[in-house]
Amino acid sequence: MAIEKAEGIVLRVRPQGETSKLVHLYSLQRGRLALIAKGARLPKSKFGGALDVCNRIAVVFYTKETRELNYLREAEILERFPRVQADIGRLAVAEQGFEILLQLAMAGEPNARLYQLVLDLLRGLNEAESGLRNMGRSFLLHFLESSGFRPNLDRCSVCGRSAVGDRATFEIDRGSYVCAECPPAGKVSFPALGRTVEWARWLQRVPPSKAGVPAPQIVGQELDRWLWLHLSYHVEGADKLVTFRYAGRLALREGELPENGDRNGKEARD
Amino acid sequence: MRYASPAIERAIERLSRLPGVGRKTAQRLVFHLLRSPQDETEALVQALLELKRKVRYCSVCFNLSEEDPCQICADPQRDRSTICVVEQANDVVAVERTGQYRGLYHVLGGALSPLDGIGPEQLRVAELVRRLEGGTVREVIVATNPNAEGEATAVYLARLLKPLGVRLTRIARGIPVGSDLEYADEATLARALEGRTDL
Repeated sequence: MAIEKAEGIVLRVRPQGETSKLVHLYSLQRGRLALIAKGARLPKSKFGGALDVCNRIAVVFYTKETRELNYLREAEILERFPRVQADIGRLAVAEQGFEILLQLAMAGEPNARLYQLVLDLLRGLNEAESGLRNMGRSFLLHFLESSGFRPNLDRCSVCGRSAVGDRATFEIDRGSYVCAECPPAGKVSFPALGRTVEWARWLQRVPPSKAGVPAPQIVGQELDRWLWLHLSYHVEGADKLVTFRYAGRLALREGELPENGDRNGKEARD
Repeated sequence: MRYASPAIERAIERLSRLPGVGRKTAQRLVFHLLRSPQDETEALVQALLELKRKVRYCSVCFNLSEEDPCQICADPQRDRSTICVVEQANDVVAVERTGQYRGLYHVLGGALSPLDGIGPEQLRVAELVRRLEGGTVREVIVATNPNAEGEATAVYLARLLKPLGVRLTRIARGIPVGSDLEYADEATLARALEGRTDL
């Protein structure tokens, strides 16, 4: 048995037996990691409030090659995100990202870029006053890029021009789009507004923490639909994600702009 | 290994459906029951049948009870102007153990949890709002768990219930009685400071 150290973000905590907790971390050193925290449910547990969802913590744990679950020995808080932890709108966006890591990221495979991306999302959500959903969408687009499933939105897949036009068609199977001037060439497609493609391009460029600009409601709905189709078509297991629907239910509460708010949104975004 | 007796197999299969019980544990339990006196096993079966037949949710507070409304809701000695909101029926038992609270309860049935797909519609939030519309309740104590889901639920309820004009309070969170301050982590200590009271 060896003792290891890591830093990670608490993605999920579940009761385990009478007094313990099962803690899922996304760690910098080991990627996705599941740890048993013995006695963590007791009031005087040595782990205190460290094992709460969203916390960035430093852990010391026992490992054994033959065991998938490791035992946690120490946990210390490095960074907290109190506004995310106390607001269901922020928490829903954060947990959408967490679910992607839990379901789609490979266990035991570190990815420093992805780790920084989650941290950036949490920091952004903790500070932002609006545009929370776009932060989640930006995170998802960056996740797709780091997994090798980046949608190609730089130019129309038929004519090669970067101008989109009023209408466009996302080609789900080809991971691209065609502009208003060209006929769709893919087998699975999703027609959308041209500005939805422009928003998606922008969300690909900016880090999640800088994406906190509310999108017009119609654009937000199209982005969610397209992202869902793209993810579930290309990434195995994505169709089981539950947080997508959840975040959608909270979208209006977050205050995405109505249809006529596009111009202001675009100006702020650019 | 399969047993020659279908009755043993059936019992093992049924018991291993329980949470936390695998086939090995189910086998041990079955053989324990086979060794036990007949009346012990019958008493267990009777207890399980009664559990399903008699226990139900109170239609007022959603606590588990054999009567409807439950003993707490029906008790004329309880303070009807205060409702303590908890996540699960187990939490009612925990608060009752203190002997300090004489008001009523409302069991939400969980906490908001995006990862589990639990939103306000899956909890008994609408029922709580209806209870407050009567005008009898003056204070709602939110006693959800002190974790991210519990906090998010508490803040959500606060936003929802504030316009109804009731006093909203949250149970104090912080240092456990009997522990040492120097070992408290920053999250616990910060919450303890937030919830400090006048001496």
